[in-house]
Amino acid sequence: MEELLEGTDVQNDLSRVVDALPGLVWTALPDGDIDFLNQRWCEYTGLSAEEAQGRGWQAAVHPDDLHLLLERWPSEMAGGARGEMEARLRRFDGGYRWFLFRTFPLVDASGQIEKWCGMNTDIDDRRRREKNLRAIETNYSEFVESFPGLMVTMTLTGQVELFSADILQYFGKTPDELRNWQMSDAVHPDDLPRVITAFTEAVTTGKPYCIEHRCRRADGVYRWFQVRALAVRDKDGQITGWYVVMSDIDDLKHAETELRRAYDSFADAQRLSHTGSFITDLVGDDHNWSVEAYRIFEFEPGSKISVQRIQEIIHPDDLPGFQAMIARGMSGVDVNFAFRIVTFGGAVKHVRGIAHVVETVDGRPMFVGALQDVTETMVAEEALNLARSELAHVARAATLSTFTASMAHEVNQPLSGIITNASTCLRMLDADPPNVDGARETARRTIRDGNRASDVIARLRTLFSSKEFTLEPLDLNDATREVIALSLSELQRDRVIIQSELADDLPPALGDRVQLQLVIRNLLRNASDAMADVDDRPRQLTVRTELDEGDRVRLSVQDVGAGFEPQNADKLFAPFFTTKVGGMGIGLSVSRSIIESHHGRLSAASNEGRGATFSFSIPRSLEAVETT
Amino acid sequence: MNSRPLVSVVDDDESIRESLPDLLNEMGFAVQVFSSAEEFLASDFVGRTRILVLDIAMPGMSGLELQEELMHRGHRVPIVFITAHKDDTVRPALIARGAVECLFKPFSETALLSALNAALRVA
Repeated sequence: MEELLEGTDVQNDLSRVVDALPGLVWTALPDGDIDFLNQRWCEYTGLSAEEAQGRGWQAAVHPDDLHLLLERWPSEMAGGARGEMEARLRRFDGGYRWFLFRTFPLVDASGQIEKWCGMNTDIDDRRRREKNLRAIETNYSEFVESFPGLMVTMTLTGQVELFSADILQYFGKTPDELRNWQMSDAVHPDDLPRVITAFTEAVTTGKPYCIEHRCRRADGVYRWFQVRALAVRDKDGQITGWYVVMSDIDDLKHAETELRRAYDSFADAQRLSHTGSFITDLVGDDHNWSVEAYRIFEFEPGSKISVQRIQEIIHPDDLPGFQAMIARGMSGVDVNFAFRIVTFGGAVKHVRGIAHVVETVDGRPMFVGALQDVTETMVAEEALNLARSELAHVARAATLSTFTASMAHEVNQPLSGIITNASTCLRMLDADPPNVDGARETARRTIRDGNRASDVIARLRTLFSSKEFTLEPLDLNDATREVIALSLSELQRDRVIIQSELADDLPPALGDRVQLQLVIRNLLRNASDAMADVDDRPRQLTVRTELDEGDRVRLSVQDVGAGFEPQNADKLFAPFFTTKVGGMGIGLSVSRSIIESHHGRLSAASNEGRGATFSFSIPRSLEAVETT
Repeated sequence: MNSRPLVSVVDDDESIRESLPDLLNEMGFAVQVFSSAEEFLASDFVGRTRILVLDIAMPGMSGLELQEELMHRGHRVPIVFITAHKDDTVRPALIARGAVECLFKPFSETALLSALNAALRVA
């Protein structure tokens, strides 16, 4: 260096060059004492060359960095190698900036270090950037590790890089195990093909990946997850890896399954019970039907429903009723309905249902309802009615035998009169002179008795005819009197005193005369039988008719017999229940069926005193039927 | 006319009460009719009756009860029962109890006459 600085001009030129270098330049003696600093060094630190001479430069180095510098430099100097170190230098204003200290040895011909040359470059900005970047990287991995859920980042090849703590816990792996592990190992075997397909597609297209599949937990249990993956790209758009977030949807999946199962069983129940449900906005003609509702109507599932479309398949006879029902519904009231439909396939079905207004939207009533295909029930009901009428017929036939004696008695009385009168008539005519007036009188009586016998036969024929069941207005008093007349001799033989208390002006009731008479006859017979053992008091039987509440008429038969045990009250009407020796036990059961087919009720009650009262009550009209 | 034997007829059936007296008259009997056993017992004719034509089944006191009542009172009047219930077991039982005859309605003039004649022989 001294050689270089021999000429002043040369020295000045060199000095300018050194000062112009983009850095702080200095030289030091082999022992480390500074012997030169360039202008920039002095300007930066605010120290003069004199102040920095020797060891004075050390005042500008950050105290924390100085000892490191002093520690390392001697060893570097001893080695004679070039060195690099980083340390902070104080600026003239007191602020510190990081500098890279580069040191080069100048060696003489003998290989001895003559001097050190140094240049300090400001690296503060670069260091700051690096530090920020490191902080971001640290934050990112911290974020992934503390992610509340299952999250991993993967390389392009599918190797695990970062992962949340939950991942370790769920899969039961150590971090090292996880890094050398393919996640596909935990995928349910049934789901694996799907997962591979989806992942392959995501990798090839770079599109986000979203799939639901089961993953095996550490304890071997599989749970459902929704797995989403997003490609990580560098600034050139190249994929460098994947973010993967796994959401546990197992409970959701189970709820979904439960819901599906509930829906299926609901649909099954609808199907089994032939019940469809619907939600209808009648005014807007908007209908939401269940699958079974479509099935009942044999409409294409999911096809558009309209009132017009339903109306087209309503049985013509039921159309007025259907239209009236729609009109009622339009006005916003709950409706019941029953109609027949003739489906496209030609089947006639009986449909019954109910619709409730659940809310009103913009003045339009919204209905929720159910409808049922009751065709089978209707057919069964018809069969039941048939069976009932056949049973009634059997019961009538059974009653016939008990009537035989009574019938003979009833007919024999007038026959006896006829024969006696005719005999007398002949005697009177044979007399000399013939008693013509007397003969005429006896002949007249003969005719009258003949008519009486004929009346008896006619009554019996009515009672035993197998006419179809018909509900017609009838005079219950009249029907009762006829039965009493036919039963009278039998009751007398059993020493029963019958008392009729038939209401005056009893209005007509709706009934099948023959069947009601069968019931009355049964009640009389039972009452009489109930008093068979009564010897300490008159065997009083009271038949009463009266107007009943609810526009009905009532007939009751009261006896003074033993009555019935309360525990038998329910069984009285059961088929084949009997307290009588030799009784068939079908009388009351058939009677009850008959009364029920009249929309009435047959009941039994113990009297306050002795015996029991059996009574039935039947409506006077169809309107009375409706209101009860 | 007083010499004619008195036949009392007790029956609740009107046809019998109307037709039988005329025939009995034609046969030469005096006749009284009663619609019930009670009415007969309450009448003046109990002691004067030579033959009793008696219906079995009647409301209130039956024919059999009347028979017992009469025996109880010591009136041993011959009885011809008449009934509309044809029951072959009834007739022997009644005859065993002292009845002359039991006729099932409708009975013939001949059957009636022979029963009445038998009753006259008892009386």
